[in-house]
Amino acid sequence: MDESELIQRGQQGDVNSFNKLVGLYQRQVYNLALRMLGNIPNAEDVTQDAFIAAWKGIRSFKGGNFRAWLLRIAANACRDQLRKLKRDPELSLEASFPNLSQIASTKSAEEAVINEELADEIQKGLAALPWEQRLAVILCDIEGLSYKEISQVMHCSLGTVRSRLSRGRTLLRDYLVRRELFTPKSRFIKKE
Amino acid sequence: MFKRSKKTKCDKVQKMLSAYMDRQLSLPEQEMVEQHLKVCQNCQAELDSLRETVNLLHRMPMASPRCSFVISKAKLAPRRSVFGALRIATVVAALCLATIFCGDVMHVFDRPPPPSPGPWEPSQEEGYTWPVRETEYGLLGVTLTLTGVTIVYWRKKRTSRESPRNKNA
Repeated sequence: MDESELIQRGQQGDVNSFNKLVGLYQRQVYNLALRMLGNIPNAEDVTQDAFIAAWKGIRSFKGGNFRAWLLRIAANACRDQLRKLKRDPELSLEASFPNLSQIASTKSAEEAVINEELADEIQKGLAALPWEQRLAVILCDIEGLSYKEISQVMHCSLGTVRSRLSRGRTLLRDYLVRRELFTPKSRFIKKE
Repeated sequence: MFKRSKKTKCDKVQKMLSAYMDRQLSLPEQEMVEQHLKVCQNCQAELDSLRETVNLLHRMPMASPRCSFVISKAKLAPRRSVFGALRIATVVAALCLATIFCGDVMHVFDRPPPPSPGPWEPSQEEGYTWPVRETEYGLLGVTLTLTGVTIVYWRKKRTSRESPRNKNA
């Protein structure tokens, strides 16, 4: 059964067909939440909430890119969760400094492509980016979405995606340089 | 003048480098960037460092979720929030107490004056149409208990949110 058929059946109220879509996309949605929030329990909550919201709103899906539609729901859920965390100072501290050792424990051996310390620093660098830039960088460079898909998820123009990605990558690069994770030759990169 | 124009060109090119890496520039923009990169080492180094950053991001591990997120009837059932109910109950009890107390202060619940002539003085013989004092004490007790339980529940909720949980699929 292909994706459009599963969506159609889901729209008719078939929860089993929808759960097949959940199985297809849960890893991607979970990873988006994990990178946006940097905290496993919050990422799990947001992922579950996003799928429940998607199930409740699947009849409003009018065709097009289902993955982008789903990731848009997840991104909105992440934004709501971050707002909640901001109001709660004790939890926001935990969210700002993600627990990468927990993330590392969930990955398989063949996925261990960069060491945990470096992954931890990159995650901290992502957490330091403004919300829109962080979302654009994660969607493009970690989740592998095209510019068009990112514009659908973020509900903005391609030009805006371009500038958010450019600023986000530059800020992240500067953060990694400050942490001395690599040394670029460029004179334009300001060290603090 | 020349230095200024070169700086402006570098700024312009550097803003395009991210899209250039992703081949998202128009053909004239791409040619302009490529020509500039041939003559500007700083912008070339800038591009290399951005490429390195993106390569690191590509190599970030994809985490596997610890549980499945399939939808079940139990998950779709509306969540009963004990905390929300407790808060509402506390507010209602406090409002009732405040209303009755205000009524008591304004002698709303006092027994009407006796039909016999002469001035009626409530301070000498105080009487209510219904057990106001007992209700006030009762509501005060209920409000204080509910406030205490709400605070304890709130603190427990905070603690449980901070510690990692294990979800079962």
